[in-house]
Amino acid sequence: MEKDDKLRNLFANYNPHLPDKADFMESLQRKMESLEWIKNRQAQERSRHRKAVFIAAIIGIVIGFAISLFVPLIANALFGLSKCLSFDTNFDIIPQKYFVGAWMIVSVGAVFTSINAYDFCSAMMLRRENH
Amino acid sequence: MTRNDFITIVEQTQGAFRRFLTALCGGDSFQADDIAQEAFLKAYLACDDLSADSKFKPWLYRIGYTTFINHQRSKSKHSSTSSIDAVADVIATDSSDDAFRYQELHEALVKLSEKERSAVLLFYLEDYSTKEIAEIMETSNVAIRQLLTRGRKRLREFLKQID
Repeated sequence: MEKDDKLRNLFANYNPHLPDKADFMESLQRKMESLEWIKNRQAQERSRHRKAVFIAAIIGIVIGFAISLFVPLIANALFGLSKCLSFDTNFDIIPQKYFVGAWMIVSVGAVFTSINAYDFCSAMMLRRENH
Repeated sequence: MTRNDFITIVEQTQGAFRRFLTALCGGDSFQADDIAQEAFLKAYLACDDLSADSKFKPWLYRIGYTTFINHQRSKSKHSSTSSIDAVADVIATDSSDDAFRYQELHEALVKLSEKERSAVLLFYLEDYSTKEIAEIMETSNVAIRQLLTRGRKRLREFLKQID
């Protein structure tokens, strides 16, 4: 596209007075340092979160597995409780229902333990970083 | 890109970039410097995403143009002052001789739309081709030619009126 000569000459001589370059660079570098500090903190937080999630997952799996070994005991306990409380029971189907109940107790327990393990690990790592 | 590499590039490009933004802001060099700093910070945050074969300067000008447009949008939401009044305020407070030397040019530039002004300045001040300007302003080559045709016609008219 052709350039208009008059406008080209007008802009060729355009050289406005700008605020001091040193002040501009100093202000910019201070802002860059603040940004870097924020980025480092965010990276530390992400790393802490990943570690806490990993530890919480391991603990959840281990606790879940350990409690699972007691499922027959839990089911029998629930079955025994139902015998005490109810009068008309069917001996064939109740143990199955209570096995489901036992698994639900194990699941809730594993989730509850994992969440608490995550909070605990996260708090411990934050405390260690701040000291 | 390391921090020192980035600072080196900033020192090389800041003069022309700030001059472009000053013209874009109708002579308000303080607003131009605010936009320039914001653009450089955005570029610093995103510089790792810049591919090796991409050029830094057009990419920086794209960020600068977008930042300027965002500033204008937020200004128009919060202020009822017209752009002509804003230019007059800047000229009235700036005691430098440059303020008077370029007063007519700034007044004429401010009368253009933001897109026309950006296209004209990138073409005449920064010497970019229409294709490069289209990439900076994220629009088509045809649209840039139309903006340039309209922009310089109106600029010539405004400058004649002032003369």
